Amino acid sequence: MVVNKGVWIEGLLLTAISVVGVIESIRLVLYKDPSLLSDWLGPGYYLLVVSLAVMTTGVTYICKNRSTKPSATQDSSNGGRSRLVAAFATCALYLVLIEIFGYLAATFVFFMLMFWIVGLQSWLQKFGLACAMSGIFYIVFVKYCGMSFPGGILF
Amino acid sequence: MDLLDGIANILTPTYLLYCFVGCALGTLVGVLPGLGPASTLAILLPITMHLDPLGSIIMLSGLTYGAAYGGSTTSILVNIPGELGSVPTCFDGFPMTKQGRAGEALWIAAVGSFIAGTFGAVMISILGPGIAKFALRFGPTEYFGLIFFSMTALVSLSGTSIAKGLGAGFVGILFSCVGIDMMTGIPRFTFGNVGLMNGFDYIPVIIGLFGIGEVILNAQERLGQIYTGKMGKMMPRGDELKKGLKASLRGTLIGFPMGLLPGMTPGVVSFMAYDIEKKISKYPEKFGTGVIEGVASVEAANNATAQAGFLPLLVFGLPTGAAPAIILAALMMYGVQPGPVLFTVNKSFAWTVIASMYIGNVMLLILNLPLVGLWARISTIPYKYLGPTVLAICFVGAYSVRNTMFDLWVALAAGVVGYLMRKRHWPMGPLILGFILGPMMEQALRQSFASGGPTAFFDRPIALALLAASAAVLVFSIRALKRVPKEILEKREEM
Repeated sequence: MVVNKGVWIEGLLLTAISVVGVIESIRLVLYKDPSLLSDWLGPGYYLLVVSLAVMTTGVTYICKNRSTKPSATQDSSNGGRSRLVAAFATCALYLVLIEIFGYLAATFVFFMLMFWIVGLQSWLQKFGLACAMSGIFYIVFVKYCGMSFPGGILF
Repeated sequence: MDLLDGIANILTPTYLLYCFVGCALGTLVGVLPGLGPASTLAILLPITMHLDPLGSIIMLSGLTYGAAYGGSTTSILVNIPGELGSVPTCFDGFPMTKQGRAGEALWIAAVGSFIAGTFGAVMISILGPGIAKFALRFGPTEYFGLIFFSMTALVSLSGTSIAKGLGAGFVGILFSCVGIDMMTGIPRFTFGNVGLMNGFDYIPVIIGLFGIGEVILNAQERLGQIYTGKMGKMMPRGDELKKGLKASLRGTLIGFPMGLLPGMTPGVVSFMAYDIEKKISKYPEKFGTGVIEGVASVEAANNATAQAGFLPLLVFGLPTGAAPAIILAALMMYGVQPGPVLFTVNKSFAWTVIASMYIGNVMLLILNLPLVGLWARISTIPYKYLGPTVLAICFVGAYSVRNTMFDLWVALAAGVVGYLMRKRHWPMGPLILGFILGPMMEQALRQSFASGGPTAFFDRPIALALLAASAAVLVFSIRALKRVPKEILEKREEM
């Protein structure tokens, strides 16, 4: 029998979420507050039903699909996968840099890295586009729309 | 009279501009493969925070029904469907192009879309106020019935696996419970974290799932070649014209009622319309070789469905799919309460949005016929320029709602989840529907129980009827989905 690891991971993830939900809902069901007397369901029972529904779905999903063949479309090349990891890492770095250096500098770094990841060849083009885009974003959103990003050591 | 007031409002230069921008963006989204209406709505949503609420809703609505128009252009010219509802348009549209009849296919697609869109707007104008008046009698019990009815979309949006749809939907409901319980003030799933106390805002979650996830997935895609062949004559004549117009009417009559049902999105209904058109045709064997009815019916059904979704949204505040759910989030963001009171408290708002649909359909007809070559060219913009820009807009959008870095991290996490869900063919429509409708359902249920106890539903015939209708729609949806090819159901993450 072929074991579909993906299905097991997905099903177990659903079940894990539901277990957290059940524990939290039991805590809320046991919570006694006189002001909740008119609220039949309280903050916990609804949660309990939904959590149990997630659990049932997770288990059903594993039982129904555990021996199905993994889909061919799920495979991707190593290059593609590393580009995707790099893209998400750049996004995370962007959020960290906003707090350290401020919006403008972080946005410039973000654009430089993203243009490189998506395959823009020329460094001059990357630099020019990153300068232009970060400038436009800063003027439109910070200066014009008045959005207040965390103040870093730069802008 | 109210509609005339709405038309007078929409004819002001500002609102006309909003309507035009929405329609143009919708067409653009329609022609760009990989960027769907829900993702674009999610990306634009926070930007519209700084704009006039009515103008923004006019623009977002125009984008939603405009996408259904634009999708046909690349389907017909280059055999690349811009969005899922236009996949069946390729079947006969592209063969028509190869026969030198691209102009005729584009003409009937645009006119069919116009007929369907206008019919939808007329039906909303006629039915909307009456249903809203009736719905004013609804209490929390009836509302629970209605929301439960909407939740049947979890099944019809499930794609090939109902377990996946239900799982995603229930997880969406569970995640919507994070934060302070609105009725008792007790924290749920907060684990002592201050950021979690405020719960997850709709916008970062929507932006992450639909915007960030999709952009990163599409970043490396190379798009199709620009169409360089001849268009041929635009307007079909004689028998071809009659056949095309009749098929457009049939598609409209299939698409509109289907669009009122939860989960019946344009992607599904267009396939059903094509299937029905083929079955009732005198020459079904010719379908797929360039039959004008194959294009007309699909495009009309596609547009009628997109338009019909506005009726339950405006009248009950209930979305039938992901795109209407995002418009609902926009309405809530502006503090506009959709539902029956919209037609009494915010009468001018409701009628101006409805009036904009008439104007928007005319604008789309103009945008899609003379400018068809321009749209075909735009569809080939490489993602390497578009992707990083859209991503940066996504982050600005996620931050703009509450100005907290927490929301940016939520958007990024939702982006990772959205990406993984797409890769593993998990439908995102149910997740977002559960996330948005979950709190409403909980509130209606708890209020029903508080006012009438556990037997509250037995004294309310409308609520009972709605629960029974939910069961009927579930059975119907499962049967209807059998008409749609498996590959298409797998690709429905966008909805």
